[in-house]
Amino acid sequence: MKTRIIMLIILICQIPIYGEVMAQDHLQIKKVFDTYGKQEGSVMVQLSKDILSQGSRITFYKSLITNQDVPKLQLIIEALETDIKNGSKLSELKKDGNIESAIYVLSATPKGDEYEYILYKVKSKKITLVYLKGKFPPNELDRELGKLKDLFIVVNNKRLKLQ
Amino acid sequence: MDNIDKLIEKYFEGQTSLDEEKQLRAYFSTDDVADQYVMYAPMFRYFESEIKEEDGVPIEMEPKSSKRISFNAYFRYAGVAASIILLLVSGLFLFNRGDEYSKSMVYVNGVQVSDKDAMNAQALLSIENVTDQDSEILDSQISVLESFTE
Repeated sequence: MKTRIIMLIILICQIPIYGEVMAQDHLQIKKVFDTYGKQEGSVMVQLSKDILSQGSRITFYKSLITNQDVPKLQLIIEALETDIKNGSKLSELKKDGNIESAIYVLSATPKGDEYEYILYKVKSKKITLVYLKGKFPPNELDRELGKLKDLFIVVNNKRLKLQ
Repeated sequence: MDNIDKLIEKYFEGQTSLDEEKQLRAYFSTDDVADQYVMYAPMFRYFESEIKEEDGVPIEMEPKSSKRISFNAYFRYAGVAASIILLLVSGLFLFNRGDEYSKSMVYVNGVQVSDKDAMNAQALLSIENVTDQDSEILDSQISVLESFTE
Protein backbone atom coordinates (compact mmCIF):
# COMPACT_ATOMS: atom_id res chain seq x y z
CA MET A 1 0.00 0.00 0.00
CA LYS A 2 2.78 2.40 0.98
CA THR A 3 4.66 1.57 -2.20
CA ARG A 4 1.60 2.31 -4.30
CA ILE A 5 1.14 5.68 -2.60
CA ILE A 6 4.79 6.57 -3.24
CA MET A 7 4.49 5.59 -6.89
CA LEU A 8 1.31 7.59 -7.27
CA ILE A 9 2.93 10.70 -5.77
CA ILE A 10 5.92 10.34 -8.10
CA LEU A 11 3.68 9.96 -11.12
CA ILE A 12 1.58 12.99 -10.14
CA CYS A 13 4.78 15.07 -9.78
CA GLN A 14 5.56 14.39 -13.43
CA ILE A 15 2.33 15.87 -14.73
CA PRO A 16 3.38 19.54 -14.43
CA ILE A 17 6.74 18.70 -15.99
CA TYR A 18 5.16 17.20 -19.04
CA GLY A 19 2.58 19.95 -19.04
CA GLU A 20 5.30 22.58 -19.20
CA VAL A 21 7.13 20.87 -22.02
CA MET A 22 3.96 20.32 -24.03
CA ALA A 23 2.88 23.94 -23.70
CA GLN A 24 5.68 24.98 -26.02
CA ASP A 25 5.66 22.14 -28.46
CA HIS A 26 2.06 21.26 -29.04
CA LEU A 27 1.51 23.71 -31.88
CA GLN A 28 1.78 22.80 -35.55
CA ILE A 29 3.14 26.23 -36.44
CA LYS A 30 6.27 25.28 -34.57
CA LYS A 31 6.98 23.15 -37.63
CA VAL A 32 6.75 26.26 -39.80
CA PHE A 33 9.28 28.16 -37.69
CA ASP A 34 11.58 25.16 -37.51
CA THR A 35 11.38 24.47 -41.26
CA TYR A 36 11.63 28.00 -42.66
CA GLY A 37 13.05 30.11 -39.84
CA LYS A 38 16.67 29.46 -40.60
CA GLN A 39 16.45 29.51 -44.37
CA GLU A 40 17.86 31.89 -46.92
CA GLY A 41 15.40 34.72 -47.42
CA SER A 42 13.89 34.44 -43.94
CA VAL A 43 14.10 36.61 -40.87
CA MET A 44 13.12 34.96 -37.62
CA VAL A 45 13.04 36.82 -34.34
CA GLN A 46 12.41 35.24 -30.98
CA LEU A 47 12.03 37.46 -27.96
CA SER A 48 11.72 36.09 -24.51
CA LYS A 49 11.33 37.45 -21.00
CA ASP A 50 14.85 38.87 -20.98
CA ILE A 51 13.71 41.59 -23.37
CA LEU A 52 9.97 41.56 -23.05
CA SER A 53 9.86 42.14 -19.31
CA GLN A 54 10.49 45.82 -20.00
CA GLY A 55 6.96 47.16 -20.00
CA SER A 56 5.05 44.60 -22.06
CA ARG A 57 2.79 41.84 -20.87
CA ILE A 58 3.87 39.76 -23.83
CA THR A 59 5.90 36.91 -22.35
CA PHE A 60 7.03 35.27 -25.56
CA TYR A 61 7.20 36.56 -29.13
CA LYS A 62 8.31 34.75 -32.25
CA SER A 63 8.03 36.17 -35.74
CA LEU A 64 8.93 34.88 -39.16
CA ILE A 65 9.14 36.90 -42.34
CA THR A 66 9.77 34.74 -45.34
CA ASN A 67 9.32 34.71 -49.09
CA GLN A 68 5.96 33.51 -50.28
CA ASP A 69 5.68 30.18 -52.05
CA VAL A 70 3.02 27.51 -52.42
CA PRO A 71 4.48 24.79 -50.15
CA LYS A 72 4.98 27.31 -47.36
CA LEU A 73 1.45 28.62 -47.69
CA GLN A 74 0.12 25.07 -47.64
CA LEU A 75 2.06 24.13 -44.52
CA ILE A 76 1.00 27.30 -42.74
CA ILE A 77 -2.67 26.94 -43.58
CA GLU A 78 -2.66 23.31 -42.42
CA ALA A 79 -0.91 24.29 -39.22
CA LEU A 80 -3.33 27.14 -38.57
CA GLU A 81 -6.34 24.90 -39.12
CA THR A 82 -5.05 22.51 -36.48
CA ASP A 83 -3.87 25.07 -33.96
CA ILE A 84 -6.98 27.27 -33.97
CA LYS A 85 -9.41 24.38 -33.59
CA ASN A 86 -10.26 25.31 -30.02
CA GLY A 87 -9.68 29.00 -30.48
CA SER A 88 -11.32 31.79 -32.39
CA LYS A 89 -10.71 34.39 -35.05
CA LEU A 90 -10.17 37.89 -33.78
CA SER A 91 -9.94 39.12 -37.33
CA GLU A 92 -9.62 37.55 -40.76
CA LEU A 93 -9.40 39.08 -44.21
CA LYS A 94 -9.75 36.92 -47.28
CA LYS A 95 -9.20 37.63 -50.93
CA ASP A 96 -10.30 35.23 -53.66
CA GLY A 97 -10.90 32.63 -50.97
CA ASN A 98 -7.35 32.88 -49.58
CA ILE A 99 -6.50 34.33 -46.19
CA GLU A 100 -4.60 37.57 -46.62
CA SER A 101 -4.44 38.60 -43.02
CA ALA A 102 -5.66 37.11 -39.74
CA ILE A 103 -5.34 37.22 -36.00
CA TYR A 104 -6.34 34.25 -33.89
CA VAL A 105 -6.50 33.44 -30.22
CA LEU A 106 -5.81 29.77 -29.64
CA SER A 107 -8.10 29.17 -26.74
CA ALA A 108 -11.13 30.88 -25.22
CA THR A 109 -9.58 30.49 -21.78
CA PRO A 110 -5.98 31.16 -20.77
CA LYS A 111 -3.47 28.38 -20.18
CA GLY A 112 -2.29 29.13 -16.72
CA ASP A 113 -2.58 32.90 -16.90
CA GLU A 114 -1.47 33.26 -20.52
CA TYR A 115 -3.28 33.51 -23.80
CA GLU A 116 -1.68 32.35 -27.05
CA TYR A 117 -2.08 34.23 -30.31
CA ILE A 118 -1.14 33.71 -33.94
CA LEU A 119 -0.89 36.58 -36.37
CA TYR A 120 -0.60 35.90 -40.08
CA LYS A 121 -0.26 38.07 -43.16
CA VAL A 122 0.54 37.57 -46.82
CA LYS A 123 1.51 40.75 -48.64
CA SER A 124 3.93 41.83 -51.37
CA LYS A 125 5.11 38.24 -51.86
CA LYS A 126 6.10 37.98 -48.21
CA ILE A 127 4.56 35.81 -45.49
CA THR A 128 4.57 37.14 -41.97
CA LEU A 129 3.79 34.75 -39.12
CA VAL A 130 3.82 35.73 -35.48
CA TYR A 131 3.22 33.56 -32.44
CA LEU A 132 3.02 35.21 -29.08
CA LYS A 133 1.93 34.53 -25.55
CA GLY A 134 0.88 37.05 -22.99
CA LYS A 135 -0.87 37.67 -19.74
CA PHE A 136 -3.66 39.67 -21.27
CA PRO A 137 -7.01 38.89 -22.88
CA PRO A 138 -7.71 39.24 -26.61
CA ASN A 139 -9.26 42.69 -26.29
CA GLU A 140 -5.91 44.03 -25.07
CA LEU A 141 -3.77 42.49 -27.81
CA ASP A 142 -3.70 45.65 -29.87
CA ARG A 143 -2.37 47.69 -26.96
CA GLU A 144 0.34 45.18 -26.11
CA LEU A 145 1.51 45.00 -29.72
CA GLY A 146 1.69 48.78 -29.69
CA LYS A 147 3.88 48.75 -26.56
CA LEU A 148 6.24 46.28 -28.14
CA LYS A 149 6.42 48.33 -31.30
CA ASP A 150 7.23 51.42 -29.21
CA LEU A 151 10.07 49.55 -27.57
CA PHE A 152 11.60 48.79 -30.93
CA ILE A 153 11.06 52.37 -32.11
CA VAL A 154 12.77 53.81 -29.05
CA VAL A 155 15.84 51.74 -29.67
CA ASN A 156 15.86 52.44 -33.37
CA ASN A 157 15.42 56.17 -32.80
CA LYS A 158 18.37 56.20 -30.46
CA ARG A 159 20.46 54.76 -33.22
CA LEU A 160 19.17 57.23 -35.77
CA LYS A 161 19.86 60.14 -33.39
CA LEU A 162 23.45 59.17 -33.11
CA GLN A 163 23.79 59.19 -36.87
CA MET B 1 -22.53 -48.50 6.79
CA ASP B 2 -25.12 -47.25 9.24
CA ASN B 3 -22.34 -45.55 11.05
CA ILE B 4 -21.33 -43.66 7.91
CA ASP B 5 -24.93 -42.75 7.33
CA LYS B 6 -25.20 -41.24 10.78
CA LEU B 7 -21.87 -39.47 10.48
CA ILE B 8 -22.83 -37.87 7.18
CA GLU B 9 -26.13 -36.75 8.68
CA LYS B 10 -24.31 -35.28 11.68
CA TYR B 11 -21.76 -33.63 9.36
CA PHE B 12 -24.39 -31.76 7.41
CA GLU B 13 -26.00 -30.69 10.69
CA GLY B 14 -22.63 -29.34 11.78
CA GLN B 15 -22.46 -31.67 14.76
CA THR B 16 -19.51 -33.86 13.96
CA SER B 17 -16.42 -33.88 16.14
CA LEU B 18 -12.94 -33.70 14.68
CA ASP B 19 -12.51 -37.43 15.11
CA GLU B 20 -15.79 -38.15 13.34
CA GLU B 21 -14.82 -35.89 10.45
CA LYS B 22 -11.50 -37.69 10.29
CA GLN B 23 -13.39 -40.98 10.06
CA LEU B 24 -15.46 -39.62 7.17
CA ARG B 25 -12.43 -38.39 5.30
CA ALA B 26 -10.63 -41.70 5.82
CA TYR B 27 -13.66 -43.63 4.56
CA PHE B 28 -14.04 -41.52 1.44
CA SER B 29 -10.34 -41.66 0.63
CA THR B 30 -10.67 -45.44 0.07
CA ASP B 31 -11.84 -47.03 -3.16
CA ASP B 32 -14.49 -48.91 -1.27
CA VAL B 33 -17.18 -46.24 -1.05
CA ALA B 34 -20.75 -47.52 -1.16
CA ASP B 35 -22.81 -46.44 -4.14
CA GLN B 36 -25.22 -44.35 -2.13
CA TYR B 37 -22.32 -42.28 -0.75
CA VAL B 38 -20.33 -41.80 -3.97
CA MET B 39 -21.79 -38.34 -4.50
CA TYR B 40 -20.12 -37.11 -1.28
CA ALA B 41 -16.71 -38.52 -2.15
CA PRO B 42 -15.34 -35.52 -4.11
CA MET B 43 -16.21 -33.20 -1.25
CA PHE B 44 -14.49 -35.21 1.49
CA ARG B 45 -11.51 -36.02 -0.71
CA TYR B 46 -11.07 -32.28 -1.39
CA PHE B 47 -11.14 -31.53 2.32
CA GLU B 48 -8.64 -34.35 2.90
CA SER B 49 -6.21 -32.82 0.44
CA GLU B 50 -6.58 -29.35 1.95
CA ILE B 51 -5.99 -30.31 5.53
CA LYS B 52 -2.80 -32.02 6.68
CA GLU B 53 -2.62 -33.33 10.16
CA GLU B 54 0.49 -33.39 12.29
CA ASP B 55 0.57 -34.47 15.86
CA GLY B 56 -3.20 -34.53 15.91
CA VAL B 57 -3.50 -30.79 15.30
CA PRO B 58 -4.83 -29.69 11.94
CA ILE B 59 -2.58 -27.23 10.23
CA GLU B 60 -3.09 -25.19 7.08
CA MET B 61 -1.44 -26.08 3.83
CA GLU B 62 1.96 -24.55 3.24
CA PRO B 63 1.71 -20.92 2.26
CA LYS B 64 2.04 -20.03 -1.42
CA SER B 65 5.55 -20.06 -2.67
CA SER B 66 7.59 -17.30 -1.06
CA LYS B 67 9.22 -16.81 -4.47
CA ARG B 68 5.93 -15.34 -5.78
CA ILE B 69 5.81 -12.77 -3.00
CA SER B 70 9.43 -11.79 -3.67
CA PHE B 71 8.67 -11.30 -7.34
CA ASN B 72 5.76 -9.00 -6.54
CA ALA B 73 7.87 -6.97 -4.15
CA TYR B 74 10.66 -6.72 -6.73
CA PHE B 75 8.15 -5.58 -9.32
CA ARG B 76 6.81 -2.87 -7.02
CA TYR B 77 10.22 -1.51 -6.09
CA ALA B 78 11.30 -1.60 -9.73
CA GLY B 79 8.24 0.47 -10.56
CA VAL B 80 9.13 3.05 -7.91
CA ALA B 81 12.73 3.19 -9.16
CA ALA B 82 11.58 3.60 -12.77
CA SER B 83 9.25 6.45 -11.76
CA ILE B 84 12.06 8.25 -9.93
CA ILE B 85 14.39 7.89 -12.92
CA LEU B 86 11.64 9.11 -15.23
CA LEU B 87 11.07 12.11 -12.98
CA LEU B 88 14.76 13.02 -12.99
CA VAL B 89 15.14 12.60 -16.74
CA SER B 90 11.98 14.63 -17.38
CA GLY B 91 13.29 17.38 -15.12
CA LEU B 92 16.59 17.53 -16.99
CA PHE B 93 14.78 17.46 -20.30
CA LEU B 94 12.49 20.29 -19.23
CA PHE B 95 15.45 22.31 -17.96
CA ASN B 96 17.17 22.03 -21.32
CA ARG B 97 14.04 22.56 -23.42
CA GLY B 98 12.94 25.45 -21.25
CA ASP B 99 16.28 27.07 -21.85
CA GLU B 100 15.60 27.18 -25.62
CA TYR B 101 12.49 29.29 -25.08
CA SER B 102 13.89 31.53 -22.40
CA LYS B 103 16.43 33.12 -24.73
CA SER B 104 15.92 35.75 -27.34
CA MET B 105 17.51 35.11 -30.72
CA VAL B 106 17.50 36.30 -34.29
CA TYR B 107 18.13 34.46 -37.53
CA VAL B 108 18.64 36.33 -40.80
CA ASN B 109 19.03 34.26 -43.97
CA GLY B 110 19.70 31.21 -41.87
CA VAL B 111 22.50 32.78 -39.86
CA GLN B 112 22.13 33.56 -36.19
CA VAL B 113 22.68 37.25 -35.61
CA SER B 114 25.54 38.24 -33.43
CA ASP B 115 27.66 36.17 -31.21
CA LYS B 116 27.54 39.07 -28.82
CA ASP B 117 23.94 38.44 -27.82
CA ALA B 118 22.68 41.43 -29.73
CA MET B 119 19.13 40.76 -28.79
CA ASN B 120 19.54 40.68 -25.06
CA ALA B 121 17.96 43.47 -23.09
CA GLN B 122 21.17 45.29 -22.36
CA ALA B 123 22.30 45.29 -25.96
CA LEU B 124 18.93 46.38 -27.20
CA LEU B 125 19.02 49.49 -25.07
CA SER B 126 22.71 50.09 -25.42
CA ILE B 127 23.16 52.27 -28.50
CA GLU B 128 26.74 51.19 -29.16
CA ASN B 129 25.52 47.66 -29.82
CA VAL B 130 22.77 48.53 -32.29
CA THR B 131 24.42 47.85 -35.59
CA ASP B 132 23.01 48.42 -39.06
CA GLN B 133 21.91 44.83 -39.19
CA ASP B 134 20.17 45.15 -35.85
CA SER B 135 18.46 48.22 -37.18
CA GLU B 136 17.14 46.31 -40.17
CA ILE B 137 15.77 43.71 -37.84
CA LEU B 138 14.16 46.35 -35.68
CA ASP B 139 12.65 48.01 -38.75
CA SER B 140 11.27 44.69 -39.90
CA GLN B 141 9.66 44.01 -36.55
CA ILE B 142 8.27 47.52 -36.32
CA SER B 143 6.69 46.98 -39.74
CA VAL B 144 5.29 43.64 -38.64
CA LEU B 145 3.72 45.12 -35.54
CA GLU B 146 2.45 48.17 -37.39
CA SER B 147 0.78 46.01 -39.99
CA PHE B 148 -1.22 44.23 -37.30
CA THR B 149 -2.11 47.32 -35.30
CA GLU B 150 -3.03 49.83 -38.02
